[in-house]
This record gives sequence, C-alpha cells and structure tokens, in this order.
Amino acid sequence: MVGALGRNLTSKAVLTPTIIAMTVCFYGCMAWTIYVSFTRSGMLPNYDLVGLAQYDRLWGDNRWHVSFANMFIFGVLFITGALALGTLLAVLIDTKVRMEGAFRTIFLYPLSMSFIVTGLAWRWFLDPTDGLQSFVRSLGWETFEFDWLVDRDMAIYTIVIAAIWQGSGLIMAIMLAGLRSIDRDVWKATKMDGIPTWRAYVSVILPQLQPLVITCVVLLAITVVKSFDLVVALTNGGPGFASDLPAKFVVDAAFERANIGQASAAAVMMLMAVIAALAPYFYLVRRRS
Amino acid sequence: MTRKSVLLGGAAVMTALLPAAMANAQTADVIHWWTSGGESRAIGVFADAFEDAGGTWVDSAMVGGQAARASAMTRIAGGEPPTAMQWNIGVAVQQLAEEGLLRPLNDLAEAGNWTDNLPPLIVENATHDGNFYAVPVNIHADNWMWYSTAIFDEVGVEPPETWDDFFAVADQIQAAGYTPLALGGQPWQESLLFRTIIIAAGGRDYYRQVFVDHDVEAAGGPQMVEAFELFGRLRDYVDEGSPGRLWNEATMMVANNEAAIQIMGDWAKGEFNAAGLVAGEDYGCHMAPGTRDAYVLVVDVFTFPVLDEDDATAAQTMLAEIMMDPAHQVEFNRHKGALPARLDADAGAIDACAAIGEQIVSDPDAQLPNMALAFSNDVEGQVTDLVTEYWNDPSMTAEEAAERFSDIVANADS
Amino acid sequence: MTVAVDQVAVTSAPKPRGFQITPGRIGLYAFLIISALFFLIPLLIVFNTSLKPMDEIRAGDIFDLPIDPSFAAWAEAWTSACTGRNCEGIRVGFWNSVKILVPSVIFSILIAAINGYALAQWRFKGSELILGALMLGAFIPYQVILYPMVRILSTVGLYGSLPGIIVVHIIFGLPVLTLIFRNFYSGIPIELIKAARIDGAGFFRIFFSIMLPMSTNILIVALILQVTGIWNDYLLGLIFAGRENLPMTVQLNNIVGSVTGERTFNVDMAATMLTALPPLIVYFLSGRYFVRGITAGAVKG
Repeated sequence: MVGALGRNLTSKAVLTPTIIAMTVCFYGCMAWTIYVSFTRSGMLPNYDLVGLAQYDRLWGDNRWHVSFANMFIFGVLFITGALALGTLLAVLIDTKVRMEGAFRTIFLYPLSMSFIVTGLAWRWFLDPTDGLQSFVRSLGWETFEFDWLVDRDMAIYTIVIAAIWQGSGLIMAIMLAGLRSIDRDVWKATKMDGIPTWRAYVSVILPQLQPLVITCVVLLAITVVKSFDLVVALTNGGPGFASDLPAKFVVDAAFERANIGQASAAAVMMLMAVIAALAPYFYLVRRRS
Repeated sequence: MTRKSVLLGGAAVMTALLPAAMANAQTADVIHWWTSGGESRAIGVFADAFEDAGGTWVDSAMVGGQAARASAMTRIAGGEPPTAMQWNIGVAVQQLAEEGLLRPLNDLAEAGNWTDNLPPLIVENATHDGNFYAVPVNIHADNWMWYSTAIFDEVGVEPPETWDDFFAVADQIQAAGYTPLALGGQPWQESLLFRTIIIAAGGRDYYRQVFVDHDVEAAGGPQMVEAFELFGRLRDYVDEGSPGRLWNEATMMVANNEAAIQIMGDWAKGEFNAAGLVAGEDYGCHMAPGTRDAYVLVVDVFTFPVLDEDDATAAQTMLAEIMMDPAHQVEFNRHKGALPARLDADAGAIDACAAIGEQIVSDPDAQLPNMALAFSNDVEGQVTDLVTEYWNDPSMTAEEAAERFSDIVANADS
Repeated sequence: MTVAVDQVAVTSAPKPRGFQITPGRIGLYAFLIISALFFLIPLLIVFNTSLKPMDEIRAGDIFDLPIDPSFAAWAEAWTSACTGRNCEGIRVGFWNSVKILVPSVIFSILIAAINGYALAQWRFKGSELILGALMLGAFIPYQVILYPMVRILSTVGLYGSLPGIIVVHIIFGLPVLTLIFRNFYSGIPIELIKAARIDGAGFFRIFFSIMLPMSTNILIVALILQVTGIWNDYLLGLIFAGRENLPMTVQLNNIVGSVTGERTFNVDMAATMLTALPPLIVYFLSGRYFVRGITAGAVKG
C-alpha cells in the first residue's frame, strides 16, 4: 500500500500548515489568555502568577456583573423571541399564502446586513427626540413614551429587538425548509383523525423538527456571546454601562483601559459561557449517534 | 548606531540643519481625539505647520479620548505605534514612560529650555526620573460653566455661584420651558460634572485629600456623600435626549439657546468660537458653581513612542518642535479655547473667559489635578463606572456610592 | 451542526389553489403584513432620511417623505464625509473593504477546500481529533484570542497591514469553511476517486480536475458566507487592519460618531446605506443559496 501512504503524505503535507495555524492561533492564544488571567498583568502582560486575584476583582466589579447578567437577559429573550417569531412566520408562510416569495425576501433581508448597520438603523429609529416617539407625539398622542434607548432599565431590550429583527429571518428560513420536508402522509393522517391544523402543528409537526430547533438555538446562542458590534453601534453600552455585554467589556478592558489581566479573566468567563451553551448540544449529538 | 546616538543625531539635524531636514519628506501619523469643529481647527494649526515644513501629516483622529487611547495601546501592542499620540498629562503618561514605551525628549527639552518655560506642575508631570516624555500644548480646566446669555436674560437670572443658587436658577429656567442643564450622557462627561461638584461640596483642600493624597477615609466622607446627593438632584434638570450625546452636541444646545447651562472644560469655548459666537455677548462663561477658587487642570500633551526608523524619529523631533513653538501654541489655543502651556507664549488680546481663567490659575493653590493627573486610566475607569452607575441608577444611595468611591481609592495604589 | 445545515434548502410551496376570504385568512395576512413592516421600516427610514436635505430633517419627522428627494447626501457621504481632518468620504472604507475582501475570500476558500478534501480522504486515528479541534475552534469567541493574536502578528511583522488583516480573516474563516468542504467531499462516491487514482492522478490533479468542478454549489455557499461575513466584520478590522486599511464598517461608525458643528443625519444615513448595499446586493442575487451560506457562517466567531 505504498500508494495509500503516499496519498496520506500529501494529505498530511496539505493539512500541516492549517493544523499549525489552528494550534497556534486558536489553542495557543487561548492557553495564553487563560494563563494571563492568573497573572498580575496590567498595561502590559506580566507573567507573575497571582492566583485568582483577577477573578476576584472581576466579580467585585459592578460593571462586569451588569454585563454578565445582560448576556443572559439578552440571550434568553433573543433566543426565545427569534425562535418564536421565526417559527410563527414559517408556519404562516407555509399555509400557501400569496406573494410568498416577497414575504420571504422581506423577512430575510436584514440578515445580510452588518450589526453596525443594524445598530445604527435602530438607534435612529428608537431615538426619543428624533425617532418613533417624537413621530407618534407629533400625530397628537402627546404622552406617548418609547424611550427605551435612553432608559437604563430598558436599553438592553432595544438590543434584543434589533437582534430579533436581524436574526429571525434565518429561523424562518430554516424552519420553513423543515416544514416543507415533512412527509405529506403525516398531514393526511392528521386530517383523517380530524385534528385541527394548529393542533397538528403544535403536537405533531413541530416536535418532528426538534433537531432543527436545536440547530437554531445553537446558532442564536453563538450570536449572543459574540455580540459586540451591535452594542457598539446601538447603545455603546449605555446609558452608563446599563447595556454592556461581556464581548464589549473584554475589548474595553484590553484596549481602552489597558488592563490585560482583567480582559483575560473576562474573556475566560466568556469562553466558559460558550462551553456551557454548547455542552447540551454536543451531549445530544453524541447520544443520538 | 545606538538609539541614543540616533536621537541625538536627529536632534542635531533639526536644530542645525533645519532646511535640510525639511527637504526629506517626513511622515507623522498622529493619534488624537480632536474631532469637534473647534478642535479640528486647532489641530489643523499643527498639521498645517508640519506640512508647511515639508512633512506629511497623517491624521489618526478617533472620536473620544477612550477610543483614541485604545487605538494607541492596540498599536503599541501590535508593534506599530504612531509617530505621536495625544494623552492627558498624568499617571498614564508616567506609566507609559515607566514601561519604556516613550521616547525621552531631553535633548529637545534642554535645547528649548522647557523647564523654565513651562509651569512647574506641568514639568513635574511631563517628566519621569528626570527625563522629559511629553510635549504639553495647552492648559484647560474642567470646571467651567457655559451659559446662554439669551436664556439668562429672558428668564432674568444671574450665573449661579453655588449649587443652591443653581437649583433656584434652574427651576426658573425650566419653568420658562428650556432645558436647564445640557449634559452629554457619556460616562466621562458625567464624571467631569461630578468632580466639579466634589470641589463645591468639600472645598479644594478636601478635593486634594482625595485626588492627590488618595485619602481613603476622606474619599468616603460626608463631603463625598453630599457631592453625590447634589449630583443626583441634577437628574431632574437634564433632557431625555442626553444619553450618548457628544459633549460638543451639548455645547451646541447652549449655543442655539435650547439649553441654558453646560458644565464642561474650556474646550467648549472652541466650539462656541467655531460657531461664530462671542464670549460675554452670545454666551457667558463662569467657573462652575462653588469652584471660583479652583482650576482643575487638564493638560493635553503629545507623547512620542520609541520608534526604530531614523525617518520616523526625525518626524517626531520636527513635530515636537512645532508643537512647542510659542507662536504655534498661541494660534492653536485660540481655536482650542485653552491657555498655552508655555509661559512665554503671549496670547495677546484674550477674551473675557480666558481673562477669568488666567487670574485664577495664577494662584498655585487654585491648581487642582484632574482625573488623569490623579489616577491611572484603569482607576479612572473604575471611578467613571461608579459615577455613571450612580447617575443612571436613582435607587443607589449617596452613602453607598461614597463608600464604593472610597473602596476604589483604597485599591488605587495597590 | 453542518450536517443539519446542509439540509436547509427552501423549496417553493405549491401554488395556492383558489382563495377563500375567511376571518382566519385576514388575520393571517394582517400579521404577515405587520411583520413585513417591522422588518422594512428601520431601513426604509434610513433610506428616506438619506434623501432629504438637513432643513427638511429638522422641520419634519422621520416618516415624512422627502419633498425634493436628492442623492446629494449620498454623494457627500461617498466623497467628502469626515472623520477628524480626513474628509475623503466613505469610499476610502469601501475600497479598503474590497482590498481586504477579495484576497481573503479567494485564499480562505481555496485553502479550506483543499483541506476539506484532504480531511475527507484521510481517515486515520487522529482525524477525529482534528475535526473536533476545528469544530471547537469555530466556537471560540474572538475576545479570547484578540490580544495574543495582536502580539503574534506583531512578531511576524504583519500587524496593522493589509496582508495582516487578510491573514486574520483567512485563519478565522478556516474552521467553519474546512468543515463545510470536508462534509461535502465526504459525500462524494469513493469509486470516482479510486478510478482516477488507477489512472495515476495525484492528489492535486484529482482535486482540481475532478473535485473542484463538482463543487459549484458548495463553493457558492462558501462564497456567500465569506463575502457577507468579511464585509460585515467590524471587530477584526478595528483591531487588526491598521489605520490605512480600516474597513467600511469601522469607517462608518467613525463618521457617524464624529460631529463637527451640527450632526448631518442625511450624510450619516447615506453612508449607512452605502455600507449596507454590497451585502444586500449579494442577498438579492444569491437567492436560495443565501440561507445556506449564512447558516453555515453563523457558527463563526
């Protein structure tokens, strides 16, 4: 089998640069960051170990608490919101509506836009003095209030809205594809049993799409953890730091505040959050195979 | 050649053979955060002078000091530092020097006799271990109050001297249908406002205890509680468009007579000037309430990262000399709204506001450190976080805020 | 993940037969139309505002149609919008993005396709490990990698340069792309390759003359994923590109963030539209491939 060996050699040669790049840039950097999170690094990296001091300070920092909590608020609302809206739109479109193509195009186009553009568009639309609120007031409803963008308690929800706007088209497309792949016999069976359509969806059809739902949840969860641009463009973390997210916290700490230690500790917490979000998925995949 | 001889060589070229140096096109990539109308004109003075001398100015302007510092730090980490970077003089510059990231400028400083031509406080902070590391270009103060003379006349009020006055005046202004306080709701602006209130609440000696001595007990004391209380009361006098607003947008609200008062450093004056308004007529200036005897110094400096190429070092030298030139400093600060950093820069006829400023700053006891002079960027960030959290969270008590302030100061020097 | 993703292909529904007006149908259409408005309005407002002069913006509100629509603000945004003293418009960012995009897309797809093919061919003890490592790599948040990556690029002298940002995009694109190609090539009948080998064709010969021509579909998917992903990137461009090469998204945020005198909303919004257009065009041209491209890429980062 000299030929097979030769083939493998070429494969190995082809893959080696990638493997080296992956090892150094992903796992090497990751290891570096984890290590540095246990050192006293400040403006520049420093390799004196100080145990958990960076994590102590991080968890004593209110801004971090707000960022981390926001990740969960944003995560839960965005994932359920996008999933619900996307699925609902898919189901409605699947009922043989006219101009299906137009609707699909409209629901999906925000997906092509960057989070910077998404954030800016929504920032202008939600601006209390120039946007929707002032428009509704100019119609005569003087007491109308929609000032979430500048409200400390509500600012994070504007990020949820903008993210749902951007992402639910994707869910619609995936779920629609799933619905279209359902065997016609399943529908016939439900018709024969006299099950109303909405019940057929809830108790027969959608459960069959469970793997797709899991895919969607993972895709959305990743969006949550990596959301940086959207916050930067929409609220820049404000008012104050009320809508800050870990992705922004890390970048600010590393580059703006020149505190490598804090940035590394926060980045490691982000990594753990991703692993926590992925664990159930990998568990399910493993159990199924 | 060693680095030192390169530097000396560069300086010699500049001082002895200036026309020859001009023949070589030098490129200066300058990071700064001067993007408002007045500021753009001001930095343009240096840029034009540099280009007139044969150099090429590459403008790396960032919006906001934090973004500019982030960009500078990223580029230093990436081994591609800019030719020059703006900073506020203070602890951060000292740290950069300590880490060996900045080029010492002793050769230029000695040749230009900087030590004698700059105020002692600036010399002290622009040097580290006896070496000059920064070129100071101006002296600003944080604690200015700008007001719309049109609104004040219409309502019939005088500039408030104390915060009690302020609330009385602001109530009348609000009743007349104007926004009393134009605030850009960005953390650094909230923090600036709060610091002027600390002086009013505790007096300048108290301010020194906290910001110079880092006295932990004082930082959590009753004066701080009172400052936070006063600060919290201001929430009722700000319009809802405040969050995220840029400082110069807030200044324009006063300039356009939409809002009555802005508490902001005297870079705001550059903005009024750029809009063609005249100090004392179209807009008024006054020290912030309760800070008549204080001048919270903000000094913009340029620092020069250590660079390997001779060309780049020569460009730094050229830039430093242009920025330290008395005539350029006068022209620069005419747009910027500040006093020149050089004592021998004769500003000539100065406006009504600058006259007030010069009188106060001439008293050394009035000179107080701003945030950058008091703390590192890291600690400054923590204070700013606290102040903005308090401002945006009415449920936080002033006592709790003061206690947390004291915690930050306690850990500031560890 | 990618297995599930590959199933996504929206087939068209059978044409509606007949049309009955029932309360249910009316409600359904009402909901769909309201949803459509929700998706359309933010961008329409940006577009609408970009066509108005400033005095109309000041006088009216966001839903007022322009009295005298003009693309003047677009021209200004393109040629003379300012950040600081640089007033050369957003076209600088546009061309920077193009310069970053083209090589990044070509090289990342080529490398990933070859790697994916090699992985599909090469079954050995460690290949599972490599696959797992690639998969996990796709999920690591950039924030964990950013700072050390800056140092690495600085060491090899690429930080802040065009090649630097291109290398970063290639590396960060590799895990997902490689997996996509690997899954695709795993599905190709082994007999085909065996026959070619008997004819004496080597690795690259087989790849370029047999595999690549068969890969049109997956190449389109990869192309869409990379073009939109790299065009829309903000963070990597901000950190790695260097001031000469800042991509359009970063420049857009700088232009919108800096105000000299009065805020020029029309120019800001025109710049936003200009930045949004390239991926929008890709979207309208790519049709059903688009979802597959984006889905494959959503795991990136």
